[in-house]
Amino acid sequence: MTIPATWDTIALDELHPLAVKLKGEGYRFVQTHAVNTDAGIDLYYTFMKDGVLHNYKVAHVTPDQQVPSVTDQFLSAFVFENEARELFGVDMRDIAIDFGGRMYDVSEKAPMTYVSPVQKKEIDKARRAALAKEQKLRKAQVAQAAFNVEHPQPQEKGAVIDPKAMGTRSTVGDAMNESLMGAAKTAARRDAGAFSFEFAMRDEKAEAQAALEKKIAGMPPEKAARVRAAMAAKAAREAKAQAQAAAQDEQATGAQASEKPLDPAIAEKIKNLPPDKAAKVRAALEAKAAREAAAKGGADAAAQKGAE
Amino acid sequence: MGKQTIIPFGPQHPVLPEPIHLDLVVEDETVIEAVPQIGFIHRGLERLVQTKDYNQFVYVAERICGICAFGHSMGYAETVENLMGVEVPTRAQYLRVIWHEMSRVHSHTLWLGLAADAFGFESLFMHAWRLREKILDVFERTTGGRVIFSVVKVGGVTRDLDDQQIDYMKSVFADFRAEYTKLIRAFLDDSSVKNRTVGVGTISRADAVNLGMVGPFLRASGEPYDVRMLGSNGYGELEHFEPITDDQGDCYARIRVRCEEVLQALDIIDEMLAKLPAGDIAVKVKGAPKAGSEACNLVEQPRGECYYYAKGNGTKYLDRMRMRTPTSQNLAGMAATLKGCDVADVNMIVLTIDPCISCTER
Repeated sequence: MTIPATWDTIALDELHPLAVKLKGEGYRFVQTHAVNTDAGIDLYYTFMKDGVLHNYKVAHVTPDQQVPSVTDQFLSAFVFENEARELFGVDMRDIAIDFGGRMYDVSEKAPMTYVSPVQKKEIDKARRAALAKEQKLRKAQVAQAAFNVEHPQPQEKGAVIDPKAMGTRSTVGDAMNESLMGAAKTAARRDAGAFSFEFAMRDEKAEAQAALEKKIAGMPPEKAARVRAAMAAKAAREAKAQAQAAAQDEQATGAQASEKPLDPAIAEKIKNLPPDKAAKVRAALEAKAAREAAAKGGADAAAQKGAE
Repeated sequence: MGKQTIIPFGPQHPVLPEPIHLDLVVEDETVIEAVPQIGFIHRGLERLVQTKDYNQFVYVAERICGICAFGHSMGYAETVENLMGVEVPTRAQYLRVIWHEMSRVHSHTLWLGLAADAFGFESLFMHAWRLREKILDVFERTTGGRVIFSVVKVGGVTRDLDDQQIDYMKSVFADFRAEYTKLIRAFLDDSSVKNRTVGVGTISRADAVNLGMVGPFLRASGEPYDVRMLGSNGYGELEHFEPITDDQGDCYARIRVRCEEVLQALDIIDEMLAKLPAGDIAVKVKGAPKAGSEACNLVEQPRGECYYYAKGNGTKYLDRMRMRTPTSQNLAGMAATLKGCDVADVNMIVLTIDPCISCTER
């Protein structure tokens, strides 16, 4: 469980009356702090009653605005109000214990309003990423909508086909045939779409690989070496996992093989193939042989019956 | 009526482990007014969130103070977890409570030693600090550090306790409890201690509440407020918790409250160790706090309630991290308590508030 909290925004001229009101209602003063934003300083005042934290925000206070002190109601706020003045440059007025801007005595004026280049770069990057993500999502939605208009969903299986709704078609059979043809065409188009999507994915992978190579080229040599080592380790892990899967398949194939001797014709075909592909080919050929044997058995039985 | 004089007290003073300056306006031997001044060790740690990502900042938060180190890392991590909606495994919450209560035991025994030193009881000071070493040994055995532990991370903790360590902790705490019970008899029953502390630096319950005081300083005036009673995070697992209070509001009451809080902390540790659940000690935290997201949190540090606030901006760097530490909230109460006291009692009163200037200035 976390401590329950409420968040409200108030106007600057509501601040002192609110402090008076909350004091009268028996609220406990918890703290004051400031947050630097693009539009000014946000001042937060926190009070507590009955185990609930109430946070009030005075938004976008500018250096030319005078902020009344609440120390006449809650004396313990004097440290935080002095802090807000020195570190954020807020013009606090009538603080009960006023250090006159010399509590911390920092060398820079309002140092907490300065955004470091590292943080600025990260924030810009995050904004760009969020924007790109949003645009990509919107583009995908538009493309999907266009695709849906062009390719309506096929008639659902089991749905009742109304001959009147099929225009000039007069028989149920014709309508059904037409419907099935339409479904087949749509399915073919959808498959084509999936194929092109797969190609697009492959292109994206290639682009990502190229971008990564470019990024590594721009790195310091030792960092680039670390990144390459990490990539090599990842590739090795993936290869190992594939090898393990293949070994398992082979083991399973081997178990089947131990039950039944391998057909020399099949063995000849699969001897030069990789293990996983060999297992698939072998299974397919065996299935085919079984089908042929069954068909032959059925034909022999029919011939025998005919002779009788 | 005598002439008013201003006596500077601190920042260097035998009773002050950390630098704080007081301008004492004195008339004869009575303090008329006390004006605190800080700013000697301001490090701008809150500013560092702009250059350390939210995982790295745990280690900065821990370095705010050498005594409340664990509490700050825990409070910070809990706030970021609230911000990102991370659910911490129950075992990790239990482990956090255990280590946090050990911090309380270590902090209070350190303070008892300082108090004994302040009223001139050298051997009591040495015994208190000898006992504190036992707790530091347990910290070293379980976390690898004696002052800075680095066991908290966003999403849980980095170290687990095995059965052998738990048995070791139980045996150490049993020995500690036996010795500590004898030690506090000297603090609570010795006439020389009472002469120096009873009736000194009294502050009423109404004034304590009015001035927004927190921690043992508040509870010694009779106000039963302790963040742990709200049952947040791991403290919600406790079967019963009642804040320790005293209605006298003087230096002796503050000593008594802290003495008993150590025993209460040992009870909490025993309870948590007895019902420590099995399971993971951390969850993997991915991504970054959302832009504009805000969260706040309270933790009961050894010196009182500490408020944490965090604001995300969509990157792994937080937009703002705020810690309102207990001592900064108690400075107004300290100034009010000093009014009307004898000059000779100033050091005792300042010390029984247990000011932590590293926390205050960050």
